[in-house]
Amino acid sequence: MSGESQAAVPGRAQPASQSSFDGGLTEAPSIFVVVPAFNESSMIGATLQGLVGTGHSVVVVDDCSRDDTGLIARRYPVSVLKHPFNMGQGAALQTGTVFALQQGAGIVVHFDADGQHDPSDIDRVIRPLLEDQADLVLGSRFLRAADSDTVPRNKRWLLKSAIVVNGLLTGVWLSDAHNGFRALSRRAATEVVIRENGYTHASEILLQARQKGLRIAEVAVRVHYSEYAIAKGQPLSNAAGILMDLIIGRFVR
Amino acid sequence: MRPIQPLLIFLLIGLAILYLSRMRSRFWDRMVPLIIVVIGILMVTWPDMSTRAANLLGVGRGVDLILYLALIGLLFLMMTMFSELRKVQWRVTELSRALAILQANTATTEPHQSEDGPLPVDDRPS
Repeated sequence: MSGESQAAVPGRAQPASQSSFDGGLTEAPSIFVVVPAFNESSMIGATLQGLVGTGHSVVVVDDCSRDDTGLIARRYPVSVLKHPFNMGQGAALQTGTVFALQQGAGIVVHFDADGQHDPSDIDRVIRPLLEDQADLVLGSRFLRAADSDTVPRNKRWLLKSAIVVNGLLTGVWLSDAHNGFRALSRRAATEVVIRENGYTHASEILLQARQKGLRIAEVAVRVHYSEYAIAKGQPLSNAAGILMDLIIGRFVR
Repeated sequence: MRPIQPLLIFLLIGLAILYLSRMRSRFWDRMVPLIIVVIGILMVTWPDMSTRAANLLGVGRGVDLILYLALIGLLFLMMTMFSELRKVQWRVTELSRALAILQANTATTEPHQSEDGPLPVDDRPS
């Protein structure tokens, strides 16, 4: 499968790149990695460095950061989109996904900007899609003991309770309900429209996937907890807000 | 508490949820507050009416009944306003999305191009 990709121009919309998938009679799907970013100037460079090395197309969505996030991102051969004002991670993901689909993406990967995710896990996350075993693949840090051991104690109970809340409200019971590492087939990326702009999108994606009969699979991924990530964390108040958003979102048109 | 009270409350809340989640329409969005206002005016004009209606429903005074109705009407109004707000937010989101994508697609290769497009939004409180 030969195809010349255009010379990468920093900041400019990138054409679809070919994946390294070899086998099968059909054309290899173009893989796009969507990175929603808000005030991640300290980590975005390292994250993009790692992603660019994978050879996949990368789409950074700058959710109107107040720091240099966008500027730094533009130094890399990635597409950078910018929201005119801050709308939330869900909105940023949706924008990146829509853009990727327009560019001909066959697979859309959601990837965190703060360095918690490992680019080498991307191949593992997309494999169920390539083998047509699933339409939506979710990364989980609780599938392997090695991964879950690194989770800080105080976060663990919060994440576990999130799993319960998520399961009750969406009907989808996962081992890790709030992991931003996902891969969607083109069909899933088209059918699932994230309308919840904030953090509720994690559950919203599951809800829509279940409603539309998409096949969901979980794959073990590493989550790297740097001091930065732990300090950032997610306050408890967020959890309450997410719960309210989900309930309201289900009942109020 | 007469049995009719919790029954009515339950019915009203159930109706409200049903309406808000499935049967929205511009007509009823405006009709319900209007009906409540008309009933309110009638109650105030003919106070005896409210007292009799109140007694029928198991409420002590006509004033109490008017209060309950007003409360329901206000809550209903709040919910419809909230729903409108969500709709507007979605439209704004979609617009911003289209703008961000448009800017990315028409970006030139100049390395020093300003990050902001034609619409840098000033969110600061005036």
